[in-house]
Amino acid sequence: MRETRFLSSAALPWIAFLAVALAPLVMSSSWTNMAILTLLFIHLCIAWNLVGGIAGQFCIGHSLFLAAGAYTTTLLSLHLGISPWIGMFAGAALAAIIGVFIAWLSFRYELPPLSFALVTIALAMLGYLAISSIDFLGASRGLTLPVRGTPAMYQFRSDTTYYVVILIQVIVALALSMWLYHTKIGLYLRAVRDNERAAHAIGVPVLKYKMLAMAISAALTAFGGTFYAQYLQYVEPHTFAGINIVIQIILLTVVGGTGTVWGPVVGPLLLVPAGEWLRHSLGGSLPGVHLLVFGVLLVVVIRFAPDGLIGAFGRARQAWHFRRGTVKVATR
Amino acid sequence: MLEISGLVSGYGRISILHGIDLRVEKGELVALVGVNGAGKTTLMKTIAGLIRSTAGRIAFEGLEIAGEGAERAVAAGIALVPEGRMVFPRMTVWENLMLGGVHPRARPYREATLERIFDLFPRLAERRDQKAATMSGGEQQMLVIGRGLMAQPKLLILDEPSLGLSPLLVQETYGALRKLNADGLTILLAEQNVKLSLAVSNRGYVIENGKIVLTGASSDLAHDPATRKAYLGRL
Amino acid sequence: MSGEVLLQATVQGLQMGAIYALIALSMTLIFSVGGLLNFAHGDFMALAMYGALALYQSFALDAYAAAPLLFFGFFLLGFLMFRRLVQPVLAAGVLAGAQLTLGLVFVQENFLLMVFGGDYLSVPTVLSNKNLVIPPLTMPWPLLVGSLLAVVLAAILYVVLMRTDFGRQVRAITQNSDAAALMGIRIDRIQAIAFGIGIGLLGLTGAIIVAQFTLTPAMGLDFTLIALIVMVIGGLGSFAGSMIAGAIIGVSESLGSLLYGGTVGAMIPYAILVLVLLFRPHGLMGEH
Repeated sequence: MRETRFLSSAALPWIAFLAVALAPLVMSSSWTNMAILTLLFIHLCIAWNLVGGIAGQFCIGHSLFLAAGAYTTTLLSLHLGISPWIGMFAGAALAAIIGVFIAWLSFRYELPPLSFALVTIALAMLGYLAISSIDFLGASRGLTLPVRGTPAMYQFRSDTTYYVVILIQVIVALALSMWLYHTKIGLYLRAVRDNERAAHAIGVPVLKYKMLAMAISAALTAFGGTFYAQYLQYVEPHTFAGINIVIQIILLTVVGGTGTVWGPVVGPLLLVPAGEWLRHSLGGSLPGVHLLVFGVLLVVVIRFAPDGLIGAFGRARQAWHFRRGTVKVATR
Repeated sequence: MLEISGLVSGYGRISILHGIDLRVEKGELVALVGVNGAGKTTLMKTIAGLIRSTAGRIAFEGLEIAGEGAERAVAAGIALVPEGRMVFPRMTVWENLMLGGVHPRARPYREATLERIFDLFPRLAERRDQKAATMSGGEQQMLVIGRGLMAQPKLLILDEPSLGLSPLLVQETYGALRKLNADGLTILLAEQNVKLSLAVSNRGYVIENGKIVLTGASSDLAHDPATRKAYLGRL
Repeated sequence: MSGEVLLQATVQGLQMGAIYALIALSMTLIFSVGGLLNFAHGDFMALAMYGALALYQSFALDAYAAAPLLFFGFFLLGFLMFRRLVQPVLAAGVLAGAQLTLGLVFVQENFLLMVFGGDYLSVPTVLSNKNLVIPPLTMPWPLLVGSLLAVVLAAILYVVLMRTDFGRQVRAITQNSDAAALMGIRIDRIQAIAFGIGIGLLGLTGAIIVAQFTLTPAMGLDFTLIALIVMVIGGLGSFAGSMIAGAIIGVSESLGSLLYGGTVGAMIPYAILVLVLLFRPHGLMGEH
């Protein structure tokens, strides 16, 4: 309902978003790092939201996909000299396979939502522990990327270029997410989310769509992983395979509003810059304060607005329309 | 003792009861008959406080208890023996009964009442430490009646106690109810089985589609063709 | 690998298992009565452990002596938390509750990081660094005492749940909440108390095991995950099941670390969890 209203003025959020997104290009470069991080999280949240929000599968295993992207490109580049531009598709493919496998498991063994969440946590932890102990993957030290310094090898001299790359990725992800959401596929996924048995009963090919959603989500996350690895120029298990980053992604998406198109954009857009600012101003004397604030915010949002900021915004808008007498009848 | 007027109740936005008027005097055994879906269970659950009514009054001994919740009803002295029995499956007979008397109102009398119930239902005494889920339908029915009695009710309401029971067990159950009523317990009995419930009660109400369509002395209702008509519905 | 070393590892595993079982039991209590899957479970315990540290630093209070204090403090915390935070959120569904606890994980871990810093800390107690030697075993006193107390507490919990009116009310609510309401049981109140007991137990557990562990702000998550595994394998609400599952996890982790290295040892519980969730009829978690 809310999304349909946005769709009728669909251009507006896009314009707003692009205005905000293009701003850093003209601002001083001290902002660029934060902007890059923000867009990265937006990208990862959009990806997670496809499965966690739209398809309603609470998956905490996305660290596997992130690591798949990051490690695959790094290893291919390190040992075979393959450009990460090509390697990232290999990473995405690997992630997609893992994702489809997970989706298949959940369907085959009829896992209720909490069990599914637990299985994904367990798999994520297994992945983290495995990577931490295998020397070929760098173990807990990690791997450093070879410095080639050429754009052909996905390495740029200026941060601004990195920013443009991630911006393009986000736009693609957003467009993809929007397309999925508003087409038949998105409808089916939401039907499965709301009542799987009923959807199955009316003939929705549940397994097929779950796997599709997971594959796309995994691939997108992997692309994000590749980018992050290329940006940091090293990979190590704690950042790329640890649960912490997934929890952050979930947090940001929930605050923005799961299951909506713009929720995963709004969440990071507001919180990541705020978090970075907190970290820089207070993080020295109060380590971890930005994450603390994230946590408190999540608690507050879930307590008072479980459908996130987008949801709250939608409700406020409805209330405003009621008062003005300009209520539109929502259609799906 | 129980005075219901204009009661409207249901689930969420769906109203099942559309203005019920009903009365139970102290010492009576009143029957409520109606087909499946007529609203008997909704009415029973609303009186017991499990469902919140949306309009109307439920006065028990002069006190208004509508919309106050189940604990209030138990505190006032109403006990419901629900449809489908609802035993605590993994607890023993003894534990089920002890839970019946857990409310502060009933707790002082627990031991004594327990003995009385075991006298009334010897079969329960035999199965004292048996898990409720392993008992037969009839035994479970006795158990939940006993459990209801543990709450020291002034008014015992039962929702379809004969459902799923063999004729012999039904006779036993009704025999027990008759005895309890003779000893002074006020009873409101909701049943699909018209013959049985009208035979054992003083007065009756016929409910159809959420409304009371007939009321009177049970013997009158039993012979009234209108009862059969209301009961079977329009053809 | 000598038999003595294996025996030592097994005994250690059993002792850790008892502790895991107790943590799993409090998690089960919160899950089956409160309806909340608490990802922050271990973090509450970590909070208690740091609390014991703070009490020691401020009042020279030994952790074992501080245990009852921590129990009551955490009971209150749990009780209020249920009323003000958990119950309203659970109205939006079970996943909302789980998400809430994820937020709490962040809050607690970073709160601890902020206040105590990221360095490894330990709490000196009367038993720290002392061993009981019964050849061929060398048993650290803190672990021995901690595990014995864990068994005792589990037994007390068992008695409370199985033999008291309060415990019967708790079980009634999990078996049929409508019928429980008909008994005049105040479901909200019992849930809040049970929740409080669950969290209180965490406070207590933290105090009695703190001598055995080094403190670090992120330590809670590991305990949460292990407790989840034990809870799932052991079967909700089964005391014997939890104790056995605790023993299995504790011993397999201990032996696994010994024979194959620390990382593999850490992986075994997760692998077991996945297998159990897949192949055990999902009636284990699916009941709720």
